[in-house]
Amino acid sequence: MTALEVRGITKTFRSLKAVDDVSFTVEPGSICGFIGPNGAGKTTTMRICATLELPDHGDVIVDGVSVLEDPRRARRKLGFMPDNYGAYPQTTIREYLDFYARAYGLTGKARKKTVDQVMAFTSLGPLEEKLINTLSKGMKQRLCLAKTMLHDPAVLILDEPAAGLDPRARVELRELVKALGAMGKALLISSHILTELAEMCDGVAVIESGKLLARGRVGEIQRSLQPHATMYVRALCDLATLEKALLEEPGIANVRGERQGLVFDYTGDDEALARLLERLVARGVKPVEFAGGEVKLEDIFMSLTQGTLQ
Amino acid sequence: MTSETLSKPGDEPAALGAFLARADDRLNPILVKEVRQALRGRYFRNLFWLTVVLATALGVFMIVLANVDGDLDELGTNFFMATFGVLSFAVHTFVPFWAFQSMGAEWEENTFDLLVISDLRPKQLVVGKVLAATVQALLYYSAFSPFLVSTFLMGGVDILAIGLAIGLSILVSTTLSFLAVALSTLGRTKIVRAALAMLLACALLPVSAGAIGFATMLVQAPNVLRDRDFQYAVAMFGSVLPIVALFAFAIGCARLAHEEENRSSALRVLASAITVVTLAWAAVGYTTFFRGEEQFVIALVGAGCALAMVAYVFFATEPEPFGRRVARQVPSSRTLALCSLPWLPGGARGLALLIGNALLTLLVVGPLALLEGDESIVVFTLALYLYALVVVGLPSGIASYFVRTLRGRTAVRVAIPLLLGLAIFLPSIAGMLLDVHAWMELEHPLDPFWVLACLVDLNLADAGPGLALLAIGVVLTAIVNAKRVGNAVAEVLRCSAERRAREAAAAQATHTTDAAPQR
Repeated sequence: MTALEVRGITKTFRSLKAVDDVSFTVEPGSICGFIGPNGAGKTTTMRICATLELPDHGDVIVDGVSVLEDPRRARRKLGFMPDNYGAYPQTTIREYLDFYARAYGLTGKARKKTVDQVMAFTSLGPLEEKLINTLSKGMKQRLCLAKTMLHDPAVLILDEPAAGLDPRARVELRELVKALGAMGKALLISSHILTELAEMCDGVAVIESGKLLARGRVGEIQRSLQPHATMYVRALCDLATLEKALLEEPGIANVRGERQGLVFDYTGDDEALARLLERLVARGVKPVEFAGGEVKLEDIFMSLTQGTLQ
Repeated sequence: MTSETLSKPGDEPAALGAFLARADDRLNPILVKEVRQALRGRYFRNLFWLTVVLATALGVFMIVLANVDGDLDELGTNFFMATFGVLSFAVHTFVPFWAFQSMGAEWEENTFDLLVISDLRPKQLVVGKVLAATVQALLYYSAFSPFLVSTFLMGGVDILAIGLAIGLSILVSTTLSFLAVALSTLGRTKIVRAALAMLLACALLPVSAGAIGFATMLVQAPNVLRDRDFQYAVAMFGSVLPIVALFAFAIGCARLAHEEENRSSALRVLASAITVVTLAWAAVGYTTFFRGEEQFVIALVGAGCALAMVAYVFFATEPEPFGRRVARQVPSSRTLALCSLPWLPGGARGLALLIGNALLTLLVVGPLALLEGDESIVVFTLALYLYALVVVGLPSGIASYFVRTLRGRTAVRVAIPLLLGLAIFLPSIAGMLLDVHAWMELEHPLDPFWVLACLVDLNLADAGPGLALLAIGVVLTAIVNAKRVGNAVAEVLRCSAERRAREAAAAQATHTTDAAPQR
C-alpha cells in the first residue's frame, strides 16, 4: 500500500492559489525530497498532509486513511515536524517526550520504554534532565524528531528539518533520516539545502507557484528534462583525434573540451553507450576515463523553476 | 517481615503501586504538563507567595487593630473579610487569567500545531487547562485554610456562611477558568489576544469584588442563610454556573476542533439545555415559592433567551452547506434527520433552533399562565422570541445572500448587536435634537425592551406601534430567510438519502462477500 498519496489537492488563501491540483505518492521506505522556491506551496501542502489545513479540493491518503474523512486516525499514522515550532521551555527533555507519549495514548511501562527508545535513537539520553530552553537549535531539532517518532508513524513529514543547523548537526540529522527510511518509514522532507536532500532522498517532487512541476527519481527527472546524457571521455591520444572519432559516431553532439578530455551530449540508452565504447576502442582510441556527468539536484531545480513569486 | 513478603503480588504496597500507575496513566496529559510548568514558572509562584504574605500581613493588622480598639467581637468577621478578599482576587482573577494565558501560550509559542496532530481531543485540551487552573485554585484554598479556620476560632462567623462562601467560590473559579479558556480560543493574533485579555481582566475584577461583597453579606448577616428566597436564588445560581461552564467548554472544544468536524451541534444542544433549565426553574418556582408572581417567570424566560441569544447569533451566521464530514453524519432515517435539523450546523438551521426553543418555551409558559390566568407571561414570551428572531434572522438572512468568508461572517456577528444598539439609541439621540422627551427616555417603538415592558403591563396602546414594526420585521425575516431555510431542509434530506444509499451499498457488498464462498 502507498504510504502517502496526495490526490489533486488545491488550496486558496483569498485570491492566492497556494496549492494547485498537486498529486504525488511516497512509498514505504522511501525518502522524498520536496523542493521549490520560497512561497511555492511546500509548507501548505505539508500542512494539508498533516491535517492542519483543509484543502479546498482533493484529498490526502495516509497509509490508507483519508485526512478529510478520518483526520484523527490519519494523525495516528503520521508524524509531522513543522518548520516553525515551539517547545515548552520550563520542561525537561524527558518530561516533554513523556507528555507527548501520554498525548499519543501510551501508558505504563510501554510509555517509558518508548521514550527511552526514541531518546536513544536521537542520542538525547544523556541530556534527558536538561530544560528545553537550554538546548541548542540542533538538539531542539532532534527533540522534535524524537517527538515525531513516539507513536511509530508510518509516514514522517519534515518541513525544513535542516534549517539553521551547523554542518555537524546536518550530517547527524541526515543519518537519522536515512535510518528512518531504512526502518520502512515513508518520509517527505522539504529543504532549501539541495545537496543535503540529494544525498538522502530516493526521489524528489518539485513545486513552484503551487503547481507540481516534476516528481520522480533525480536521474529520471534529469532524463525527462534533457533527452541526452552528458558524457566525459579522456583517452591516450590527442584531443583532435578523439574529437574526430567521436563525431563519426551516431547520437553524439556538442563536443567540447574539459580538463584533459572531452565532454559531449549523447542520445541513446545504456546499451548503445556500451557499444559506443566498444567501437571507440576498436578504432584504436584508448579511453582512460569514460563517465556520465554528475546529475545535480541544483541543475534540475534551476531548469524546472523560474523563481516566480506568488 | 522480609523484603520478599513485602514485594509479593497482591499485597497492599504492590496493589497501591499498581493503582497509582493506573491513575497516572489516566491523568489528562495537559494537566500533567501544565502543573509541571506552572510550578516551575514565575507567574504562579510569585503570585502565590505574594497573596499568602499579603493575607498574613492583613490578618496581623486586623488582630492588632482589634486589640488597639478593644473591639474583639468583630475580629472574626474583619479577619475573614480581609483574608477572603485576598483569596478572592487569587482564585477569581489570577487563576482564570492564568488559564487564559496558558491556552494563548500554545499559539504564541507555536506549540499548538504539535498538540493538534497528537491523539489529544479538543475536550482533553480544554479540560486539561481548566483542571490545571483548578489545581492552582485548590493550592490557594489549602494555603488559606489556616486563615479560615482561625476566623472561625476567633468567633463571630457562622461556619455555614464560610462553607457556602468557599463552596460557591470554588464553583465560580472553575466556571471562570472555563470561560477564560473559551475566550482564549477566540483569537490567535496578538492584537486580538491583547483585546481579549483586557476584556477578561475587566470582567474578572468585578467578579472578585462581587464575591467579596457576597461573602461579607454572608458573615455579617448569617440569618439570610435561612431565608427561603435566598436559598432558592443560591440553588438557581448554582445550577446555572455549571451550564455556563459547559457552554464555555463546548465553545472551547468547537474552536479547537478540525474545520471538517461538527463544531456546532454540541453548542446547540447546550443552548437548548439553557432554555430547558431556565424553564424548569421557572415552572418549579412559579408553582411553589413564587406562586402568582409573573415577574419571576418573565425574568427567567428573559434571562434564558438572553443567554442563548449570543449563541443564536453565531448559529444563524454559520456557513449554510455542511462540511464534507458532517454531511456523512446526517441520520439515515428521514424522520430522525428532520427532527435533528435544528441541532445540525448551518445558518438557517440556527434559526430553526431559535424557533424550536421559542415553541418549547411557549409550551411550558402557556400552562403556567393558565394556572393564575396571567396572560402577560405568554404575550411577553411570544414577543420576546419574535424580537429575537428578527434581531438575529433579518441581518443574517440578508447577509446570507452575499457574505461567503469567515471575515464577512465575523463582521455580521459584530454588526447584529451594534444594529440593535443603534435601533435603541439613535431615536434617543434624535429625541434630544427634536426635544421629544419620551424618545430621550428610551420609550420609543424601536426599543424592544420598552415594548416588552409595556407588554408585561398589558399596555397595548403604547406597545402598538412597536408591535406593528415587529410584525413588519417578522414578515421581512420570513421573506429573506425562506430560500435558505428551504435549502437547509433539502440539504438534510439529500444527505440522509445519500447515507441510506451508502448503507444499502455497504450491506449489498457484505451480502455479496458472504454469499461468494457458498457459490
